[in-house]
Amino acid sequence: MDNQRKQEIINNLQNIVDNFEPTEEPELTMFGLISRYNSQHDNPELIGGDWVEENTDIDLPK
Amino acid sequence: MNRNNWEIVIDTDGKPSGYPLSFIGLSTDTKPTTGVPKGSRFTEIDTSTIYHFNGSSWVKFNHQVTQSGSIDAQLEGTLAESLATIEKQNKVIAKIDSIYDWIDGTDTTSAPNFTQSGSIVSTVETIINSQSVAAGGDTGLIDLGITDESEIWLSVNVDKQPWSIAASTLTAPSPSGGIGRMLYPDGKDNTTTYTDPQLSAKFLYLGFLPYGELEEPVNIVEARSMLISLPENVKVIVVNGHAEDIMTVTVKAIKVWR
Repeated sequence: MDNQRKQEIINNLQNIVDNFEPTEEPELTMFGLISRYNSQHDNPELIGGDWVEENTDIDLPK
Repeated sequence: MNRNNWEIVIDTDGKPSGYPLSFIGLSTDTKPTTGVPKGSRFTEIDTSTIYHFNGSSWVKFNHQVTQSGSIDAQLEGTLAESLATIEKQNKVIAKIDSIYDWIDGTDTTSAPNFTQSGSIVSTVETIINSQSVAAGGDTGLIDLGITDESEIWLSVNVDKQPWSIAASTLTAPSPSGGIGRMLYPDGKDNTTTYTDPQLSAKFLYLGFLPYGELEEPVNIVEARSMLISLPENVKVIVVNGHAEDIMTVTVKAIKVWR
C-alpha cells in the first residue's frame, strides 16, 4: 500500500468518525467504524481494527 | 494584629490580675510581653497555633488541633472520601452481579468488562479486533491463549450473515467452520447479525466435540455441567458465509476462573 492510498483510507475513516451521529448507537466503536467503512468504501486491503490502531490516531472502544 | 477583651483571670492571691487579652496575628509577628495580663492568648492564624501568656513568656498550647484547615473542611473531606469509597464498592458489587447474571443467562444483553471479583475472576480480551473478512473467507486461526481457566465464553459481533464460528478441541486441533458443536450453542451457520457491542452472540466453549453416544447439550445448564479441563493452544475461527460482502467481526474471550 503506497502512502497516497494509505492517506485516502485514513481520510475516509476520519470522515466516518467526524460525521458520526449517536442515533441508534450511543457512541462509535471500532466495530462500528470498520462496519461503516466496509459498507461505504471498497476495502480490498481488508483493513480492520488492528490496522486503524497501528496507522491512525483514531482511538475508539473495541 | 487584633486584640480583644476576653475574660478575668484570678491570681493565686485571689485577686483579679487584669483582663486577659486575645491577640490574633501571624507567626512572624513579635508577640508582646509588656503590659500583657497573665492568661492572655495569642493565635497564629497562618499556623493555627495557640499560645498562652504565663506572665513572663508565651507558652504553646498543648491541646490544639494540629491539622491544617478548619474542622468543618476536614470533616467534609473525610466524608467525601468515605462516600467515594462506598461508591467504588457499590460499583464493584454491581459488576460482580453483572458477571453472575451474564453467566447464568439472566442478563443476555451485555457482556461485562471486568477483571476481578471475590472468588470469581474474569477477564475480557478482544482476540479478533473488528477484522474485515472477505466473502467466503475466514479470520484464520486465532489463539485464545488458554491457561488454567475454568470457563471460556466467546462474545461475537458480526454485520453479515450467514456466519460460523468454531474452535479446536482436545482431539481436533485444527478447527474449521464446518463444525461448531464444540461451542454451546452450536456455532455453525448463524443467520443473525449482531452489530451492537452490547448485544453480541455468546457461546460457551465446551473443550470437546459432543458426538455419538454423547449427545449435545440442550441448554446452558447441561452445557456447563459437561465442561472438562480446557485444552491448551485452543484456536478459534470465524467464517464469512456471505456470497458477496465483506464481513466485519469482533470476538472477545471472557475467561472465568472459579
